[in-house]
This record gives sequence, structure tokens and C-alpha cells, in this order.
Amino acid sequence: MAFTTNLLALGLASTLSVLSANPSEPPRTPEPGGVLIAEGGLGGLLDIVEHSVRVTVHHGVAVTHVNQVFLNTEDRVVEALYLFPVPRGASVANFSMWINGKEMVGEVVEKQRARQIYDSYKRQQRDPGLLEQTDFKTFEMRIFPIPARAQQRVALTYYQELDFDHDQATYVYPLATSPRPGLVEQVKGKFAITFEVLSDAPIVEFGSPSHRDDFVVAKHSTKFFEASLEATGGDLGRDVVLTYRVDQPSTDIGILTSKPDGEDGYFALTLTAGNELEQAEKGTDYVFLLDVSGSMADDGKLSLSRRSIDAFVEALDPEDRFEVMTFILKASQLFTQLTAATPDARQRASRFLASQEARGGTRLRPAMAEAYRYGDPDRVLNVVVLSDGMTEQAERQELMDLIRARPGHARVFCIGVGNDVERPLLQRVADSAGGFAAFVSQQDDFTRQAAAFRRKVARPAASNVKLVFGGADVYDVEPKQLPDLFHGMPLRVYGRYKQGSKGKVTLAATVNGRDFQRDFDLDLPKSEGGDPRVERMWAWHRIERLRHLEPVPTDEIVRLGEGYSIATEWTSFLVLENDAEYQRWQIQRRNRLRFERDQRVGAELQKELAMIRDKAIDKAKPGLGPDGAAAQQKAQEAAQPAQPATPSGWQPQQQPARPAADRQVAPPGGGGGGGGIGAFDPLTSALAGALALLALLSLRRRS
Amino acid sequence: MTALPGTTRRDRGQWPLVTLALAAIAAVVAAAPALQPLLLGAREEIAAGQVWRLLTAHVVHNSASHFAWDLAAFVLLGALCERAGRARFACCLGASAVLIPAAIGLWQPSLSSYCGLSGIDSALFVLCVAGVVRRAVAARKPGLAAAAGLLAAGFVAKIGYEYATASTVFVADDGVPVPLAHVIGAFVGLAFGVVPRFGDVLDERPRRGACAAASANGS
Repeated sequence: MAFTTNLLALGLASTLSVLSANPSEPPRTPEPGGVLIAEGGLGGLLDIVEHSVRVTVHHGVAVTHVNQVFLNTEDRVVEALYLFPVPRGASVANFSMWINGKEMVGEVVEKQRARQIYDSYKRQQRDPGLLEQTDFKTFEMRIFPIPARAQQRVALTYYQELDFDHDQATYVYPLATSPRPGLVEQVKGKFAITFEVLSDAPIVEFGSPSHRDDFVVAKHSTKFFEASLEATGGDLGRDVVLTYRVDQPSTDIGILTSKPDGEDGYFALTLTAGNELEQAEKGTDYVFLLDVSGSMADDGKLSLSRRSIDAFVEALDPEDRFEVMTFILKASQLFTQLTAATPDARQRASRFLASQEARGGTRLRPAMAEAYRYGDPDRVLNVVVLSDGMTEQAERQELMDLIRARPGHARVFCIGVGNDVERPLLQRVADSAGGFAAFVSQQDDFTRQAAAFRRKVARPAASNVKLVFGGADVYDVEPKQLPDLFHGMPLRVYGRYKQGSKGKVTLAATVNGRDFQRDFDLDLPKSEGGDPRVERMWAWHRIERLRHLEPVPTDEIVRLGEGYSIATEWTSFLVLENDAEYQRWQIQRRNRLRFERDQRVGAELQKELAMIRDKAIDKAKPGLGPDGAAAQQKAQEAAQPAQPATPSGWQPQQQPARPAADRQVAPPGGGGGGGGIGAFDPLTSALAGALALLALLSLRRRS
Repeated sequence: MTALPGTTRRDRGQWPLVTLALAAIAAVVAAAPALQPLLLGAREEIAAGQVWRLLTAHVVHNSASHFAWDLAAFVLLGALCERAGRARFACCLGASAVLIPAAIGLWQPSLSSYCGLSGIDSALFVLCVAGVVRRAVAARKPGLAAAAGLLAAGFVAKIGYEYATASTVFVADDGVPVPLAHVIGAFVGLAFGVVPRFGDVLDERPRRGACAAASANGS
């Protein structure tokens, strides 16, 4: 009865609120990164008064902490429903809510059960929170109740492996996508993002293609960069894109491990191709397949694709040949044959692309079959598909069969455009066809992307890649089948090991048509410790593989999701009011333990970063000029670590990091990074001293 | 200033003015951080017409240690080479100052900027090695030539290390080293070092009584 009364009250309040609204007022607008909607009546949108993001990249894995404060601007109790797009390849690893001033860490529970528990609390007007994955690209967060005019703080964390492309890592924080069609994006609140990257290889370039002039960058060492941005108001309706490029001179394997107490260990291998695997492959054929179906009209995806193909065609070599095809339900060709990439052909392609309009449904299969007909046995055929992957469900299996039956010399590459793409399908298509999938954001630099893509396509470093573990009891390696290794694009392999040992891992591959083999040392520790991110990333990769099996082994996915705190389409994060409520529902606090462990490791990493900052300050040159003291003060300001999340209120950095003027000479154009120095070190100076002595000696002998 | 022993021509007794002037400029720039962004070899600004940066990049340094080691080597090698023969030294200095940033601009397009004296230091190092070897050959002193060759090998090994690790020996984290600058500098130094006749001290054939004769001439 009470529940019915509440519903009636909420419904009445909502109705009055809608009726009292001025119809001439513009609609309420959503906040960056997602849409916050008041449910439990006729709805409405809430405000996000704070949106702070902190990204820490270590060993190529980005951990993104998002803190948000919602404000209920209405005079009624509401349920907040927050929709946000999942960044590409991200695994949501924590969801917390502040209840009575205390951070309550969520637990992962099977999806249906989590929803039932949430609804039971909702009926009692108590404080549950629920985070569900609604499809492959969208998460939905529900919080109830948010009292009239009250604020609610939430935090979530997600992990993602950064995309490396020609040694260039790209991180995208999606702000430009509205998960619900028809809503206009505009920012009102404060938004702050801090980005810390600690790289294994020296960073030679660092910047933001999307917010070139807005980011402040501090270089603390060749391997540690920090950038921050703070903004308010409507200039953030676009993705935040940050890129950095590393110098990777030789083929190498990096290893990260994690050994929990009393369990088998986990490892992550990162294999990178060096210059010795380089091979030139001239005279390549390309067929560009552009999806011009109706879904490509959304979010400017078609224009983004046009610009991408234009850039790709511009990046072709004169020895290359190409064809451009568009497809809806059937394919249309531009040249009807492969044509050399002459200036005239490029112009024709550009005009052809400009004339395309988005309409109709998508069927990729006929276009793919048509593209295969361009195959020349003497040359490699690269089929490049630009699509959002929203192909008709019925033809997907048929398409996969066709992909697997491709001609031997053909490879398929997929370019997903925009944030709203069917990423898993494009990834599967590319993985099954000897290519790779790349994803382009609206705010990215097309020319750079296209040039890097072309280089990578033309130069696969190694194929038939295999890793053989010697002297180590290794199992459950993911992925089961290794893809080709491309230049500037590390290959990551995860697995488990039974006992710590020192052994070897042998890389076997085909390079330039010949067998290539090299051994690397493998040290798997016996004692507890390491980086717990490896465990989650292993489990996430395993889930990603399992979810594509037919039938989907949901029990195993739920076991992995609950065990490793990963929200999936079959598991959700549930936040309850206190520990007693978790006990009541017999929900183990596994994520809390994992969260505390993550925090300890995160604190150790922050200590390491602080030491590098301190070292950078020590290396400042206060004696070199009258501004030395001020400059050192500036360096200290720049090197302050961002404040960790606290229950009393995680605050974004009020003053973004600044590059220390006396430590790093920043290029006048801004952006930081990318500079090189000519340095004579003590050893070379000693050689110079010895040489000077020798010269003097020779002259003395002369006299 | 102590004269170099054995110098007999016009260079003997002269101060290495070019070296000292350049060192003074580098010190002034190091002491005035506000000047550095105007002088740094920044790619975009050079492309926009600020071509002076091609030359001034050499006197900008990233940190105190970067400045100290580069300058120490420059003063030592510069003084030695300049006093041994100013013409050869000046030609080598000018060519390396121009060719190093040009080569980086051409072959390392990913670098947004360049700074430091070490490219020129490398040119002077090899110039000096070549001078000693020339001198050793003329004097038929194979041990001297071998010692100079050993130092040259150490220098090449150091460049190789920089290429392999993208870091400097001992001085970590000052910035990304650009071994290409050292390679170009070395080639420039070698080119001017092997020219047989530049009229400088190290080219002179040793002969009995030369020093006494020179002293008698008052040079």
C-alpha cells in the first residue's frame, strides 16, 4: 500500500512538474559522458555538478577513476538513471556510492539477482545502487532515492588496454556520444581530467589532438608525463583524446605478474616488434568498403568515414592500387577495377565519396564477396571496411563464414568510426581475417591515423606467431590463437601459472617468409605480490572470448564476473547500505578486498610517481638564474600528485599541473613532449678529457 | 692563458675567442629561462619562419646537468681545436651548427624540438681525434694513433648505446637523447678532420728545432 502511495505521489509530483514547466523553455540537456535521467515518474534530467576523471597509465593499461556528484534539482524524490557509453575495450572494475558520508564499495552479483535485490530496497525507500551493462557499449547506473534538492556522489573505475598504433598509444574519454537518441549534448557543470602515464619505453611525443590548447602538460622524466584539463560550460561536447608515442627500438617481451596468497599466479606478456623484424611490402592492393546505410547518418559517422578514406587514399604509395566501394544492401564500385593511386584517381575517389548519402539497411556480406573478386594471386589484397558494424543480425554468421573462407592472400581490416559502433563484430571480422580492427574518434587526427594505418598494413612484422613456454607450468593462456604481430602494435598475452619458476618463453613466427625464433627469459615469482590488474585483465579477456561462443557459457562468465569483479552483460555491480545488508543477502565482499588491494598497489604506484616528481624538482637548476627559486616553486606546484579519492569529497586539481620552466623547455606551441636533446654525459666528457690530454701529449712530443 | 705546447704559427698564444664567446652565450641563455622558448629549435616555429632557431638551438639546455656536461666538453674541445687551427675549427663549427638541426628536421620528423651543444661537441671530438691521428701518422707514432682510435671507438660505442636504449649514459631522464645529432656532428668533424692542409698546428711535420725557430720569430 505504501509503495502504491509513493508511486502515486511521485507520479503526481512529476505530472505537476511537467505541467508547470514553460513549454517554450528549451529541453534540459545532458551532461558529458552520459545522460542522467530522473525516473520514478515522468522523468526529467538531473544535473551533474562535478565530473572528475583521473587516468593512470602503467605498462600500457589505463585505469580510469570517474567521480561524479549528481544534483536533484527537483522538489521530489527521484531515482537517478545514468547512462554512459563504455569506452572501447574497457572493463568496469568498481562502482561505489557515498551513503551517510561513507564510501560503500559495490559487489558483483549475477544480473537478475542484483536487479531483484535492488528493487526490493527501492520499495523500502532505502539506499541501493545498481550498475548494469545493458549492451556491448552502454552501462546503466541506477541510484535511489535521491531526495529533493540533494546531491549524491558516486565513483566508478574501469580498466582498458590502450590501443597502440605505430608505437603511438591513444586514450579516449568519450564525451561526444549520447546513449539515447534525440538528446542534445551540452555541458553545464565543471569537468576535470588528470592523466598520468608511466611508460616502460621513453616517451618521445605527448599531446592531445582533441584539446591541444586546453591541456597543461608536465614532463617529469622521459618515461613519466602528466597532463590535466579543467573546464566549465559548453566546450566539452567532444571526446577527450590523448596520445603519446614511445621509442621501441628492438623486439622485446615485457612481463607483469600477480601472485595472490594461496592461489596460482597470473601473468601478462607484452610482445613488441622491433626494427629487426621490419619488412617492406611494396605494391599492395586495397579495396575500401564504405558503409552508407542509414545508421551511418548518426553522430556524423558517414562524414567521419569519408574523411578517413580520403586520408587513407592520400597515404597510399604510387605502387599501390585501390578501389572504393560503398554498400547498403548491395555494393557500388567506383572504378570496377583496381586502379593505381594517381592524383587523378585520388580526386575521383574523393568526389565519389562526397556524393554518398546514408540510407537503407546494412548488408556487408555481398560487398565482401565482391571485394574478394579483386584478388590478384601475385599481390596482397587488403580489404578495409569502414562501418559502424550495425549489420543485419541474420547475416552475421553467414558473414563470418565468408570471412573465414577468404582467399589466401587477402586480409580484412575494420575501421570503426565514432563511439557508437558494434565493436565486437568488427573485431571478430578482422581477427578472423588476418587483419586488425582500428577505431577512429571524431576528435582524432585522421592524417596521422591514416599514415600509421597504411604503414602497419603494409608491414606486418610477423605472422604465424606462437609462444612456447619452457620450464614453467603455464595454463589458460588468452588469446588461444595469437594474431599477426604488427609494427608499433604490441601483442598482449595473458595466462596463469601453477608454480613460480624461472624459465624461457620462445617466440616462433614467420618473418619475410622465413622462420624466426627467439628465446626470452621468463621469471614467474613464487611469493605473493605483483600487480593485481593482471588478474582482472586475464579474466576480462577470458570473458571476451567466452561471450562469443555458441552457446554462451553464462555460468562460467558469471563465475568469472563475480570472482574478479567485472560487470558484464550477465553480472552487475550492486551497492548496499552497509556490510550487514551484504551479509543478509549472503554476498561475499570479494570486491571490497580486491578494491583495498588495488588501492594499496595504486598507493605504491603514486609513491613511485611522487619520487620521480621529486627527482625532477631536484634536477631543476635554481643556481642558473635569478628566477631559480621561483622556478623551483613552480616545479613543486607542477609535481604535486593529484589528491586521492576520499569519502569527504574527491576534488579535482584546482590548479592543473604546469611544466616547470627551468626543468623542461616546452616548445612554444604548447603541448609538451616530443623534444629531443643533444647530451654529453660524464662518460663522453671523460673521453673528451682523455682526448685533450692525448692532443696535448702529441704536441709536447713534437716540441 | 697558457699557450699550447708546440704551437708555432699564428694561433699560438691566441685566446680561443670563438669558443669563449659561444660558451658565454650558452651561459647567459641558461641563466635566463625566459630566453629559452625564443631560442629553442622548435619545429613548428622554424617552419613558420623563425629560422634563427636552427642555430640558437645549440645554446639552449634542458637542465643544469645537461648544460654543465655539454658546456664542459665544448670549452675543452673548442679551446683545443681553435688554438690548434682557427680556420678548420670555425669551418667545422659552422657546418655542424647548420647541418645537425637540418638533419634532425629531415630524418626525425617526430621530434617537435631540439636543443643542446652536444652535436657540436661531437663534431669537435672527432675533429680533434682526426688531428691527433694526423699528427701521429706524420710523427710515425702508432701508439698515439691507437690511443686516439680507442677513444674514438668509445665515442662510437656511446652513440650505439644511445641508439639502442634511447637514453644517455649516467644522466637519465634529462630528456630524449638524439644520437642522430652526434652521428651528424661526428661526420662533419671527420670531414673537416681529414682535410690534409688547413694550415694549423697539428698539420705541421715535426722537425728538429722547429720550436726554437718559432720562438726566435717571436710568434
